[in-house]
Amino acid sequence: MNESLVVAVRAVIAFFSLLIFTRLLGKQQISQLNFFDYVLGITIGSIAATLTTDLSTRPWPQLVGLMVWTGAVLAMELITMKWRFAAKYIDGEPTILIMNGKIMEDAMRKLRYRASNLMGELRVNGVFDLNQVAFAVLETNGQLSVLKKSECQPLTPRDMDMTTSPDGMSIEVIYDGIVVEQNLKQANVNRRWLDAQLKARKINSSSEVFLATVDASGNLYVDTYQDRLKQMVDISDFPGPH
Amino acid sequence: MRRILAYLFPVVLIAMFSAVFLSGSYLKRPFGAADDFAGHLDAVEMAIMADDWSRAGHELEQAKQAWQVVTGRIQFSVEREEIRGVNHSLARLGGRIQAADSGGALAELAEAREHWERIAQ
Repeated sequence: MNESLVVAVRAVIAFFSLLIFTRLLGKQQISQLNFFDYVLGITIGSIAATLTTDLSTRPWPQLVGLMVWTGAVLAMELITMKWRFAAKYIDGEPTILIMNGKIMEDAMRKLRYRASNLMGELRVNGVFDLNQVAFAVLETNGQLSVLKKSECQPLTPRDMDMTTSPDGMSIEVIYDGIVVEQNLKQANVNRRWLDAQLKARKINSSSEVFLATVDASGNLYVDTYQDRLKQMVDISDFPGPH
Repeated sequence: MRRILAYLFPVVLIAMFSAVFLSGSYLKRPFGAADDFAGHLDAVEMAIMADDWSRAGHELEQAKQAWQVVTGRIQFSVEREEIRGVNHSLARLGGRIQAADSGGALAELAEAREHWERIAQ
């Protein structure tokens, strides 16, 4: 038995199995996971690791374990999506920790949430003075959502009765030196317009461009491989290896 | 078509992985005389019963060769301890045959068979 070869084959299988199963489970980010989701992720990863290196057990039961855990997570996701009661039962509910500026001590005690935790999370949200807070809600994923009192909210163009141009997503029209024809149509521009814009910026060919995008107002952003900066900013404070 | 392929590809991949991990019970079967490990063990037993120790030794060598062929095929789907178990039993069996110890040899043979039967079960 060639153990290295067996581990290599098992690693390839575990890698692609994990890739497929995690894609199946969706695109939730780590920050969106609640504690149970997080533990589920670790368990699935741990099974895949065992599948790779634990040669003292047959690999098939491990793959079955991986499939069953993935299936269970998927089933939970579907159940919580379709059945609100189950969602509340499994995921829990957000809890108000500050209501109209008053700290809810009972709710904090139930959640074993300390005042120092609350202050820390408020600081993470950019709030350093409790007087500014109208509501603070502890979400099911453990993050604190904070609503500042109206007098502490930042000023917006609407407050000033200002009209603004609509925002939209930038569309990539040149990526790594290659013009993305499909996106030109989507951005309502054409090759001739793009070439003219590049010429105006003294760029002869799209191959000189690292990234070019068009925003909703039709403005072009271009970054070339050669940055032509007169003075480089160095943020390093220590002469390290690089 | 591309959409169907996008869904089909991971399904085929998982099916392939499952097939690799479940292939042990099929691949341990003999595909010819050279890799008939269980058959060679039977031949070793018959030689021991007949007190023909040189034939027993020869059959054991054949069994070891067959085992090497089978191990190469099943190594991805079985547990390492069972493979090691067969290796150890065969090594001890060699010693018993050299010592012409029929009781010990039959005991080792039984253990080798036990490991062999447990493989990919």
